[in-house]
Amino acid sequence: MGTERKTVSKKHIRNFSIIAHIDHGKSTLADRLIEKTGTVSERDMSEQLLDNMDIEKERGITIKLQTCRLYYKYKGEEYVLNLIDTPGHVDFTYEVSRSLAACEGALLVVDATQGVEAQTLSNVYLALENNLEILPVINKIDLASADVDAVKLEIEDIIGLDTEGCPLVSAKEGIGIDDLLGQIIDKLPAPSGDEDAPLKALIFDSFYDNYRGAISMVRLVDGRVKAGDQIKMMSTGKTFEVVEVGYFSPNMRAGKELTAGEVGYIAASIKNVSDTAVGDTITLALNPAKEALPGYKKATPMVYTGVFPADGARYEDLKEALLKLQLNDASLSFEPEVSTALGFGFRCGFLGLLHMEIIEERLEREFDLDLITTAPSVSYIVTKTNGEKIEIDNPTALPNPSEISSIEEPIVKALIFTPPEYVGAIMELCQGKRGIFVDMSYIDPTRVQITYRMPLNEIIYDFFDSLKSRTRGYASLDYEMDGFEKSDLVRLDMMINGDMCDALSIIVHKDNAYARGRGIAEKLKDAIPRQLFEIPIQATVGGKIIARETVKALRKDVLAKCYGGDITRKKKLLEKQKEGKKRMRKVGNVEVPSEAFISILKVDPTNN
Amino acid sequence: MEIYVHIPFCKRKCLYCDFNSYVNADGLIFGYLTALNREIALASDSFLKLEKNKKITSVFIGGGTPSLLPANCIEALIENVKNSFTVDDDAEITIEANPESLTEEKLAIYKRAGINRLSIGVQSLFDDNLKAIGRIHDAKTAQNAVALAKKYFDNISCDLMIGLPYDTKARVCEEVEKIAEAVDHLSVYQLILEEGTPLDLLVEEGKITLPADDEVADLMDAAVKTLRENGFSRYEVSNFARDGKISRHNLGYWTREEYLGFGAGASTFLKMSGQTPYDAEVRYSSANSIEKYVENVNGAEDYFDIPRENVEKLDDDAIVDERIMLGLRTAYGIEKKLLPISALEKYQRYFLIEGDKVRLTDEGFAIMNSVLVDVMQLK
Repeated sequence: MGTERKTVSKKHIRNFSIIAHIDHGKSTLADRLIEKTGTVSERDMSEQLLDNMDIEKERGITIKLQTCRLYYKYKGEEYVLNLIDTPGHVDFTYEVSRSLAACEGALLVVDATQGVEAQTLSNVYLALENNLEILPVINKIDLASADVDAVKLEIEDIIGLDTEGCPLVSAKEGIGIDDLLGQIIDKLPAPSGDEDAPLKALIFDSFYDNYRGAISMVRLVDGRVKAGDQIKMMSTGKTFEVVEVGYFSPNMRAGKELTAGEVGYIAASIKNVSDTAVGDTITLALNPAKEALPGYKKATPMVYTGVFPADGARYEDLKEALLKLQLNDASLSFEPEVSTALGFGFRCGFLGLLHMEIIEERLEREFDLDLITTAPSVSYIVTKTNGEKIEIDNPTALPNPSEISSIEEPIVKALIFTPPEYVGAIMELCQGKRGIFVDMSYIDPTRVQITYRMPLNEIIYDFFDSLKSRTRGYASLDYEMDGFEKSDLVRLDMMINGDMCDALSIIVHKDNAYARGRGIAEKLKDAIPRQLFEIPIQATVGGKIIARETVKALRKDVLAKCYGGDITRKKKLLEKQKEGKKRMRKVGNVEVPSEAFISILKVDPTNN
Repeated sequence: MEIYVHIPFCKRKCLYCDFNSYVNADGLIFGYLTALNREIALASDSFLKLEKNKKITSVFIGGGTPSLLPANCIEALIENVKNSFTVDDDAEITIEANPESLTEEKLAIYKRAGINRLSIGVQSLFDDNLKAIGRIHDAKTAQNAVALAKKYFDNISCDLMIGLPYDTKARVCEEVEKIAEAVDHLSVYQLILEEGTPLDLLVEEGKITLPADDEVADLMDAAVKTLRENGFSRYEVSNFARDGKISRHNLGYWTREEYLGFGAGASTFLKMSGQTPYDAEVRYSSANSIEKYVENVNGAEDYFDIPRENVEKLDDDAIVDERIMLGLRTAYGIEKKLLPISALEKYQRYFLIEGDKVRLTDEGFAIMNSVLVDVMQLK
């Protein structure tokens, strides 16, 4: 536990976030700030302190937001700087908006060698929506390819921020950090609020601690709170006794009291994370605030997929794991799903593809689960012929074509930044994905901004990989929801030896059905091992066969040589073969390996 | 009871080989043969005590390349076996030989030693194939060796591999016919790409292309047809013989005859429940490494004190599994009652049912493993 400090006055507090595109050095900069302010001694520094999860450190991205309190002496006075880390990826916009609401200012970190990227923009807009003061910070100035003047110009042209005298730093080399700390104090506003007014604390995050229960991360807008206080959750009216208050520096440190303008945590032996709902306002039971803070709009899942344990016996383990992940990630939703081919599993909703990938990876890594996931889907609004409207996120839930009057699909506005030489390739790609051109403009002679309206359905398929491969990784993408639109959609089903495999059904645009059906049939043909009989694989739409492949009957499966009577070895080989068979899924009388379900998710980028 | 003796030395390792054999290990030969003789002597002591009348019906000296050793060493070895056990007068005594190491002198000594069957590793009669799989000899050497061997032995078997890089149907028919003309027994093995072998690597790197599974199935069909036309019968999935020249030793494996394996990595199968320390039917093998084997044997005072590996005691289920797995390899098949009726129905296309016996057809032999993993319990 750290030394306890006396309460600081509001004018000595700065609450700020760092917003940046992935790879622009946000986490490294955060590390440098922590180090420079002596919050963690250099000896204890492990790279990228705020990224707690292994996946975050490995991928160099932030998923869960973290906070850290820094102390800094400036012009003879001591300041408390509350750094609230934000995720940099579009999937986590919701988390970003939560942390921004707890701040007065934000550092906009831009890589001096890369310039402004699509995702930087959307985060800047979020910051502006939250009325934050934005301080541009140009990073990686030590690199030979850094072009500070060009990047400054970009920031001024695209975002409209003044870059006069803005901090120029190299987080990696520790250059310009003192200047940056000074500017944070000089340029970002101190929090306002009234310590003596009734308590209003905004929950911007919560997580589960095995010893202290559900812990709320809060920004105190008004009032004060300390251990022993009876607090009330304004949305539910539930009351709890505060056990401990404190802050992160960067580990949890208990404090005496939190007051207006401060950022910290409140522990109150709360058993359910659902009782510490993000966006809720905490007040005191005895002297409650009259009205709650505005809170947040709820994060809605955009991408859905079926998640099944490769070993059916581990269904309960999967359920436990999902529940545990959900404790710290309210944006993850799931409900039970049964598939004839894959057995019991869960239909999971994610904020986006990266979110999906990360959850799947955490399930496999942290909970040691082997998973089979089905093709990602989006949510559709189906109007039935009887006028009833239903929302579906699972292709198998689509009613019979005869019962469907119309289907609406989610549309996104996709913003793509690219060097000009790839404009043709990107437009061709977007056009092929049913995109409708909206706008194109030159940011500078080397960078173009292209806007398309596209079905989300096409984005989640293989858009991102195709974009990266067509632009050799140079293009960046961001998208935001832009309503629902009617579309000519059909369900594509796959039949294996005459039996429909529900786990392989997808909803596609009618014009794409043939190509997708053929592609999947080809993948399945390669992934399904030959068996003692011929296996037709058919893609069908509304019962009509649109593509067909055949897995030929097996003609050779024998290990003839028997070295010196080593029967045991032979038996072991057969045992291994039997083990392999056991892990396969049965579709009718055909054994289908897990890899087959996964293989159809991977599309060869040269194919399209 | 049968005896297998393993000689784990080779002049060169073939590119496909993942078996227990060593090159450049000449310095170990003397110590190895000494340990081998000690193991035989220890076994003799134990088994003479246990089973006085147990007769040896077959001795097989395999490798590796047994023909690499000086012939008098082989002679001494057989002498030792004969002195240690009751070897039947008409026992089958086989040695494996590679074409390049067979000389007239060796053949004469083998004959003098009582060897009456020769198994020659021909593998292919096409030089491009032999070279591609890293064999040390060419086709001519192989044919000459067979011709030479015929001067001394009338019971000769040749090993042939199919599924080699340059195999075609016509070629396989040609080489099968040539071999069938010369000898009365032929083993036809499909090349198996074992993980981690140099050949596996070459195939992975695309430097060698092997025929696809369907082609190999066609090649096997062609070989079987040619052999039948030449008066051979397929008495086991990969073994063919004419005029009763069936290998007694091989057949012993499939009919669950007991055998003692001597030497590094050699496997043993004993049934004598109650008389061995295992108290059950048991399979085990010796250490693979030559040094380890020698150390193990020299450190033991009793045959059953020699450390063993892969010790597998067989319970009733395992014995049934073995009878199915081994019996279905042969043309004699197994008792029908060993299989559930559902399995007989499911695989009727691959089975021939004759009275109370059931066996696999040629088509069934080709996909034998698929049937076995389904009909065996495998724990």
